[in-house]
Amino acid sequence: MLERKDLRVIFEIIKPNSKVLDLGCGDGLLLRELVLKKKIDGLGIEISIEKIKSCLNSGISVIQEDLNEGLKDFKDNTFDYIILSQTLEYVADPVYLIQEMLRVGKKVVISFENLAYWKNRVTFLLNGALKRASTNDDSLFFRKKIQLLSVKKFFDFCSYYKIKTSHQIFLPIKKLNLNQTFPNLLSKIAIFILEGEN
Amino acid sequence: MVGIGKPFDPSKYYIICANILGSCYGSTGPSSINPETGERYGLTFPIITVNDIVKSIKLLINYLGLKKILSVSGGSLGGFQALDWAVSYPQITQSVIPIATASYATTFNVAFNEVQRQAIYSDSNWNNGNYYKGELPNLGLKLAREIGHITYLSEDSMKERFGRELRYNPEYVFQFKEEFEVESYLQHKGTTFTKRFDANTYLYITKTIDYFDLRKEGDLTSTFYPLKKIKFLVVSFSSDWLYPTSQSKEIVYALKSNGIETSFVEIKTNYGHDSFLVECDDLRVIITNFLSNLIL
Repeated sequence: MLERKDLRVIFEIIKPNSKVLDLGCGDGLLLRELVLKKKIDGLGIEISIEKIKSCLNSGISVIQEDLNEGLKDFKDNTFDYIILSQTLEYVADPVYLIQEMLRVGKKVVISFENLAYWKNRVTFLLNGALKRASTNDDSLFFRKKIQLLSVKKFFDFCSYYKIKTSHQIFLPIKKLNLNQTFPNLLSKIAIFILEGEN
Repeated sequence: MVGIGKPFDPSKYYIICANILGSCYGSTGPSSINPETGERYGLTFPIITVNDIVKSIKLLINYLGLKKILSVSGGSLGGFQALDWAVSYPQITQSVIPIATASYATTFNVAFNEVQRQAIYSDSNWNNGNYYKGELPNLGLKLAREIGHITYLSEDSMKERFGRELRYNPEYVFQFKEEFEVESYLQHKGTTFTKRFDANTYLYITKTIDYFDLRKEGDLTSTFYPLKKIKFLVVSFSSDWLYPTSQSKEIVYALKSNGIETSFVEIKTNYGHDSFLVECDDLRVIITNFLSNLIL
């Protein structure tokens, strides 16, 4: 049902009947699947009014908010999971947001495209520019992504801020599973599960 | 907003829309005849609270034999009613859509309402509300409406519509009679209003607004506790400075604190508080989509 591979993995991670907050929930499809199939109590945060219309159409509760404001209105430890899927790249202060997520959620699930993926390195080496992602509906030349994220950078970040990572999954998952060993080089999309601070 | 193919679609829903108690349109108010005296009530009419209005609508609902309400929605004072309804009758209410509204009248609201009332009081014809047999206090009502009208607009929309354009002459004449477009516009709005509205009713409705406060000792969270099973869609407009987004956010926060299923949208508009009366595709789609997931 879910097209995006990282969303399918995240779907599997979430336990039934849990309280889920999806930051930058887009059209709400992940939340809808989770509500329908795993009976979760879900809430989405989204800034785009067009995406919000889609969420409401799916019966998802959604609050229009700019993630850069953090999660000021949320009390500590209110959600079993807080999801931030392929959105961290657009956040102005990722450290602040992730710390907020760790405060408000028991488990934090973050997915992002790995800039250091070997294909990106080859493309950049040969072309001097990265290929524009086909799923992106941004303008032709300038994307709104402001963070350059790689698996290595994320590991370093977690280590520096003493954030516990309970689990990580690197896509694509292939038979030999080499990307679990060399994730920075071989993974296209990384999914990290972090333990909340409480 | 109401009609086939619109959010409140009569081919899909049984729609009720009642005039408010105290109104000079289709209800009993200060301009109505008191059956006991045969005279108009004037200021002998009691001051009405939002809860009084909500109770009167409940009587209507009972009369119609309705057991459950799929959705209660309103803007501005209508939003006050929607919220008060949810707090008063949570068991029979499935969802609430408060638009461009608040859970209490702010100091700002009270201040502006008071000067509007003062405008009516200071009309020499007002005569403590006993004007029905004589000259109407139209100058006072006109001024009250002009003040009110400014609070419904936004600086941007006024600038866009009128700017500093002059109404009658190509250059400044330097007179006290109106010269600017906006002055003439306000005068026109004020004058046309006096042709259809009653001055005493204006006093009563502004008072109804002023007294509205759903909070218990300043706390909204405990007020919303019994509303756990109700779904909310709270809507505000970015240019509304009469009932600003911050008021809607307070409502959203108090609802979320109770674990109530709440959605919130701030629609980007230019029209100020009046935005909730202006054609708006975003508002239509949002409400339609929200309602489509509700089954009684």
